[in-house]
Amino acid sequence: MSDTFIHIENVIKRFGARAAVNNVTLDIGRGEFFSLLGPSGCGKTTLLRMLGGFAQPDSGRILIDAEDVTTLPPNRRPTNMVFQSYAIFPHLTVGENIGYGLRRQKLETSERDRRVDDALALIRLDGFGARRATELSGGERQRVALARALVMRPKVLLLDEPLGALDKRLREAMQVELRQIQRRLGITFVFVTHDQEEALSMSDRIGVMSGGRILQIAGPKMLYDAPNCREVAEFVGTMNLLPALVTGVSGGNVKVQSPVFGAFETVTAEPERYNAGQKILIALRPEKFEVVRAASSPHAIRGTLTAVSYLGDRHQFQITVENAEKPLLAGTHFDRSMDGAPFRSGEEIYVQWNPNEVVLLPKT
Amino acid sequence: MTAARGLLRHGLTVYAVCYLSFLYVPLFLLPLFSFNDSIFIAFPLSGFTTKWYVQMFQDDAMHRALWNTVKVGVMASLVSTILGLFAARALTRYAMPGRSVVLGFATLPLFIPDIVLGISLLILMTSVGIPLSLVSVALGHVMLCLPFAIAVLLSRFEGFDRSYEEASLDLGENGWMTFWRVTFPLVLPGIVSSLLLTFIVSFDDFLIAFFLSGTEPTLPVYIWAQLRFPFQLPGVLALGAAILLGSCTVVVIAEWIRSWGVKGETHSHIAGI
Repeated sequence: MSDTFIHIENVIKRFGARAAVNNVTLDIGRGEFFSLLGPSGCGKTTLLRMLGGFAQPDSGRILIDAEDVTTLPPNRRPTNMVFQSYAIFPHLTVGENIGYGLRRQKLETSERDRRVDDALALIRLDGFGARRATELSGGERQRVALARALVMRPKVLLLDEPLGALDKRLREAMQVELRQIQRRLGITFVFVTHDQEEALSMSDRIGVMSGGRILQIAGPKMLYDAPNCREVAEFVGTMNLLPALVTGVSGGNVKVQSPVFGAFETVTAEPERYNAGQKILIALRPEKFEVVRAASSPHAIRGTLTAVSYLGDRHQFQITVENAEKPLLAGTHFDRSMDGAPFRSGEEIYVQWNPNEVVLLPKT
Repeated sequence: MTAARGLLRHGLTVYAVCYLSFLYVPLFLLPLFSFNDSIFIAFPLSGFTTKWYVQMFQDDAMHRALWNTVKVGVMASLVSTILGLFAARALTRYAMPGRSVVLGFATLPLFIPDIVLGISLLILMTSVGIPLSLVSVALGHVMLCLPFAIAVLLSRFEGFDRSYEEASLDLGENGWMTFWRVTFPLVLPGIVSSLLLTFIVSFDDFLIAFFLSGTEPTLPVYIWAQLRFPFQLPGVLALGAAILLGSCTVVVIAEWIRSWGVKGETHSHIAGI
């Protein structure tokens, strides 16, 4: 993260007795693409609306570019919003929609027209200015909403699940396009989504929210490879979670005893979180498992293949192993072993794993 | 199966025809006899004439009554629509306790018999000391019209996405300009529809106007007075037929404007999903 551009400090927002945003402190850098990720009702939209001025925090403060905006109304903030419903004014044309905010600024008509045309070019809808807003498709409306906000040259662009209403192909195309526009303009984007793939593919950093709190702030790779708690591990991607016991800590190494994986030693970035005798969870991504017929590593568990599902770009195996409550999930690109024979449901196999890829999570 | 179903369908068709006839055939008698060349309202018809219409258009007292009705209607529809606008906006915008109770009381006058309303208002006006005039009639009509205005405008505001106003604020407009640039144009079809509908409610009212008008009658009161003179009856029929046509036209236009606006909205909403 570069220098702090948005500073959110101890912000609390209650609706009745429930705290929708519960004491959030967060810094977002200048020109950063920051995503707030979480299930519905986690407080991410409320936090975004407080950045835009549509809701006021009960306590705490919000600074944008070193200016305290906590109590400023939306029309006096250096932010613009792309609404979830897009909120394209149905009684205006596309051009009038995009130029809506420019009317207020005392611009020459020619300058205003030029900026509207530039915005239309940016979203590749040149010549759409005279169309009625009601004639647009979902994807076009999304882009017009984007242009209408960007034409105001905001310091921060707020996006409230802007791709949620689009079909999968359009959504993926827009993810790339949004990211390109953000890079080109260098504007700070704060993007709210419940779609973890979307957040991982677009963001510089992601804040995972749950129950009004921020659980973890990290880059996409860090978030995927090293979630800091069970909730993040379960929300981002698929994860095998198993109970285990810490038997010893020395330096950066932790000794672990697991009913399924047996005894092993692994490295952790935060050894201070663990003590001997502590009950923890160990987590391993499905793609970190290697499924083989003959074990070639000391870290191999015998199991029975109970289900094979084809997911297009990969296969997912369900493997029943001793002492585990749920079957393990293993993902591979191939449905067959090195010897060329496809794996079959019911077959006895081995799953191999690497102790240093195991993620330790404190049990909460 | 098909026989039973066919019988049912025929039965329903017959029922629908009877139902509509019951509602509308009496109305057709009015224009029918208004073109009949006789002062007696009875079959057989004796011949075609437009002289009752000519007579109607030459009646100065009728012109004055018509003009009175229009004045009352314009006052009542404007006031009730403005009040309805406030009420509908408040009812849809703020999550207030007792919303349904407020809504219930706002629409209750629909179910109070007009004669009760008329007598109550007469007692009120005379005890407060408001002289009976076209203004007192208009005040009474505001009470009569307000539930219609609220109902029409409420349906308009309920389909109104809050984020339109938020988007306007976000783009730098203040609250007042947001109302004029976004809210007003979007609810305009509802406002026009409410104005037309309340005007017709006021125009057609007899009972409240009868109690509250002083020396200046509105059209329905004037018509009622004319019924005492048998030779005036065909002229009244002609007038009634003209009012019927006018009322129907205005109501159809009001409904068309209302649904036209809603359709535009729904379309854009679907496109958004």
